Amino acid sequence: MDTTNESIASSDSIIHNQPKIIVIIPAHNEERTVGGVVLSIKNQVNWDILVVDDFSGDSTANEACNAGAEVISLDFHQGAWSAIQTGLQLANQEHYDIVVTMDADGQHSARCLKDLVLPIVGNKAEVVIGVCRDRVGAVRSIGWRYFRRISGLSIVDLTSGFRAYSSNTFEVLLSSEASMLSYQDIGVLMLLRNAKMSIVEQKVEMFGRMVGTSRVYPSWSSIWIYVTQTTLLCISKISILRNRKDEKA
Amino acid sequence: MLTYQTTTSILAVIFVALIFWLIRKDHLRPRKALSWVIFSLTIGLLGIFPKIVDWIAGFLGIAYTPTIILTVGILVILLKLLRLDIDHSKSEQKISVTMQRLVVLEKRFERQFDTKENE
Repeated sequence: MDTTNESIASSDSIIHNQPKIIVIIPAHNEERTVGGVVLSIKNQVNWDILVVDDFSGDSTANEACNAGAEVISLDFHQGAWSAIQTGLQLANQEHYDIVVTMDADGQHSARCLKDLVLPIVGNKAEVVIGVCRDRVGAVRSIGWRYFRRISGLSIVDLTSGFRAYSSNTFEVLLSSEASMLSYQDIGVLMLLRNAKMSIVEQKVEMFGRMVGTSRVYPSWSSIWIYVTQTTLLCISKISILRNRKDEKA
Repeated sequence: MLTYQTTTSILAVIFVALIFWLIRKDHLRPRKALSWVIFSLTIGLLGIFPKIVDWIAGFLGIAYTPTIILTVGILVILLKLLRLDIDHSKSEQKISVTMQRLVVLEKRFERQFDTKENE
């Protein structure tokens, strides 16, 4: 496709109000679930589906491809956020209007996809976070209250990987600051907030993990590392915010 | 038995020689090598003339001379390590972005190729 065709296609999509949407699924050793996730999306919507295989040792890439998704395989293990950034690079270069990120473990329900992008399609927001209140247990609830306080964010589910981003956010999400981050969570949300992007929450249904353990919280020691690392990030970025406010005043 | 000055001189000469050898073999980039050359020459100077340290310690009012060597030495090593970590973070980030762009480029190339084949 050459540039002229591309611009015609994008203006067409604006006229018919049909945004070009891609679902990005970062996957690391998720061969048991990734195929099902891709099929469940295909049953609901006819958007492009991109599975970013984060250097899996199993047949994740094959399973995703057989289910009908496009697959990009990373050359070495990078973590979920870098895998998502890879998808965002593609979305940015190929002029997608909306990117939806989804976990490969089947936690997120494809039935909620349309609801998730609705605020962006209606120009009400640039970022939509899929929130499931049932997911918040007692320990997490305390943790998140703590993180909300130190980050100054008011989002219920700070670590939800079920999100929709409008094309306005691509520049921020692909900045060098963003590629210093490890997870798609508080750090990313703080960057978006500092860039004055409007973030809304959308209630979605989520299922328990079918197999395996959470990527961010596999054990107590990793929880400790996560909490200290994120605390450090929040505190260091908040001081920048204050300085900026002072400069303006 | 060797004198204190001989020992420090030998160590200093070995260190200076090592740095020059590493630069000669292209194991150190010239920009990074410069700080090591300065560092090694300082060690060389102090090794051959250890009295300089005594003189500095006397000037700063430090009674026990080795303290100054250890303090300054550890500080320099810490700063060097910090610099190393900063550079490492930056390179990691650059490698990550380069890899992302590469795999995306491959994907787009593949997409275009598929479109052309279908036509």
